[in-house]
Amino acid sequence: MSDYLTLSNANELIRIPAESLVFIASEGNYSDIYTRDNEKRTVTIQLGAIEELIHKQFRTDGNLFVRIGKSLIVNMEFVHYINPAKRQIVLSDKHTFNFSLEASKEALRELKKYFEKEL
Amino acid sequence: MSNYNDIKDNEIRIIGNAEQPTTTLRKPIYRRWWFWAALIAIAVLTAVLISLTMSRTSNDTAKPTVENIESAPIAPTVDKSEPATVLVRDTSVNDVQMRIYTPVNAVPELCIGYPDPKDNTLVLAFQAADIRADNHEILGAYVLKGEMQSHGRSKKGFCAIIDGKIQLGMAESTPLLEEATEKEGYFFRQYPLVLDGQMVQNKPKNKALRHALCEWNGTIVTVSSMGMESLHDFSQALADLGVRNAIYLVGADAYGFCHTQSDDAPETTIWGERQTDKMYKKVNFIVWRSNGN
Repeated sequence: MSDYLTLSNANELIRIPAESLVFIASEGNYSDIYTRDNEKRTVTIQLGAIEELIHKQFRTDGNLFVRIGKSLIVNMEFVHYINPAKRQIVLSDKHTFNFSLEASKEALRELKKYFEKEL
Repeated sequence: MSNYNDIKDNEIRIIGNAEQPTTTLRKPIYRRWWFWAALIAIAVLTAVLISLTMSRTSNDTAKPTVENIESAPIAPTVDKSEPATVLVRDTSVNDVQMRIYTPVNAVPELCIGYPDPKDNTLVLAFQAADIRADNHEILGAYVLKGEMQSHGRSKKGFCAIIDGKIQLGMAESTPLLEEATEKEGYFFRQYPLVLDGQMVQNKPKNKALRHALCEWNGTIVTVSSMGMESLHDFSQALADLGVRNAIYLVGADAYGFCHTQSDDAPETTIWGERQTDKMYKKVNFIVWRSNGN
């Protein structure tokens, strides 16, 4: 697995260590990248394109990230709590950050099943 | 995976498994009834369109589309030995009476909240981005001194202020937004009015007092209509005036002011109204401030 997610455009290049990437939220044509140090960085890359980059760059060490609906990519290492009825997913390392996010009931039900299968 | 945007809100997709390029927890697309229905519909539609195109004799020539245009950065001319002021001149194009404000020895920036006309470091102020009626937030992407205040791209025109230099343009997305956040710059969105010397059509058809932020003769100016104008007539008048690029500024009774020098005596002109309603908590302005002179 590549240690970094590398995002590049005409003006700049950003490298983010995979283990510090918590989640990425879509904002139309932009994406907000949240990292373990509670920082948010906005990039002019659509979420689908970032998913493709994750797929290509982290290819040999799969199952680390999950796309949830149209708006989220989440690092599964940090999934701490899922409640489909409340449409709530909490990402946390129980130490430095705690992000509570909203997603569809059906998607969260699927994700819950996925983790249950892993048991 | 041919299209990474092909996902619904009620679906998930595990990313990056080497053995299964993208493990999906949903049925393959070709096993869904709507896939085949859509395929048949597209085939029928394509056949209809082809037959219509073949039967039509058209002399239309393809018009170039104006997309993703941005001006070169325009720096204010600042002479620290001279005071900051605003040069005002009136003109008329196509029966549209206009007032042109040229800030001199002043640097542009954005601010949220009403600026004080008694602040003598400010020489010119116009309302910049619109306010959303539903949540009273700023409409469209907005960056204030590097801090992202709101997202969105409902209006394609934009103004970026980076290192004191203004860039106007039109784009769905632009790296200037990121650059503004990284360099403590400013960014807001508005209707594009003129791009590369060509008028841009916009939806609003009503008549009102109009304001615009323009690149004209290599400098940045603001232009106000003296009477009620449609956006179309105002944009066309700007293009005919020779404006290279322009985006809209909040019009109608929007608040603003300018400080001018008249016979060595400073003069302040205020227009519009200050609103006290809570809807205007994010009222925001583009202002020009003297640079220490």
